[in-house]
Amino acid sequence: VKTKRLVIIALLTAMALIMFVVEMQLPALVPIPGVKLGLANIITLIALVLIGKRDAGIVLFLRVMLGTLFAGSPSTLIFSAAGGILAYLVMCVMVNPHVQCPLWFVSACSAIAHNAGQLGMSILIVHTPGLLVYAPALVVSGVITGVFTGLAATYTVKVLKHIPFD
Amino acid sequence: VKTTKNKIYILVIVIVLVVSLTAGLAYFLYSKNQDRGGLYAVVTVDGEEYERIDLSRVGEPYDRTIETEWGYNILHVENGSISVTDADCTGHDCVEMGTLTSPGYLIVCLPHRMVITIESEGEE
Repeated sequence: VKTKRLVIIALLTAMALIMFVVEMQLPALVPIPGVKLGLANIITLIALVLIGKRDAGIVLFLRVMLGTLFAGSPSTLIFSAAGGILAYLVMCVMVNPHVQCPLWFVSACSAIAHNAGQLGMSILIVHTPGLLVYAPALVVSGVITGVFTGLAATYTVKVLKHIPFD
Repeated sequence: VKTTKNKIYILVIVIVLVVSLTAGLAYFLYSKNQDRGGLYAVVTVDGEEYERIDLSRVGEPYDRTIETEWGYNILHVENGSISVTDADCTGHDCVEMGTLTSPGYLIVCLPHRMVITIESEGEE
């Protein structure tokens, strides 16, 4: 059972990393830093639903660390981490039996949280609250990409949930 | 029951979208009207003003290099506008953020802790 868990975490991390690295190579559609698809978030969502909060947290942590190593710079780490942690917390609160909301909604909320984390961190770093002018754009992009990645996760979970993961 | 619940979530999402789009648009229109003739680009590094460039009386376009302990950014100054054309940072977000022409918007280079904002005369 322990090996199985290890393999699943490694597999999910590898998939998230591939998505993360490929996405870094795509040209930016909108000239605002922080607006991106967030494809790796699909994996975090799937992990959260299928293997639980703790292991999903491990997958996210490994992906952020290794992603920085492969495709980012030290300065991108704090932004990824700030966004990632906030998004993870939102997901953890919203994915539980008591709150039964659709996964795409969870995903949209966590994408907004992710962008808010990155924006907040940027404001702290450059000491410029004026960066808030980009808040509306980041909310809109968070909603759109969040719904998209959330739906992708929903359909993947539908297929995968027949496989016993624990 | 499930479909009505879904509808509520869709409604919430649509409201969030509409509110933020309205806020963004309102700010855009507001900043367009802030134009009072005199235009300055204010370059801030690590929270402190580094340089103030008058954009209202630029004859020939020129380049200005901002070099700090974190790296350099090359600014392209034209009459009424400013942009970043090159930098030694990793992401090049500052270059992709385009050209500033009106007050209220800014270019950021996070790795270099540099911000360019536009102010018009009348503001401090």
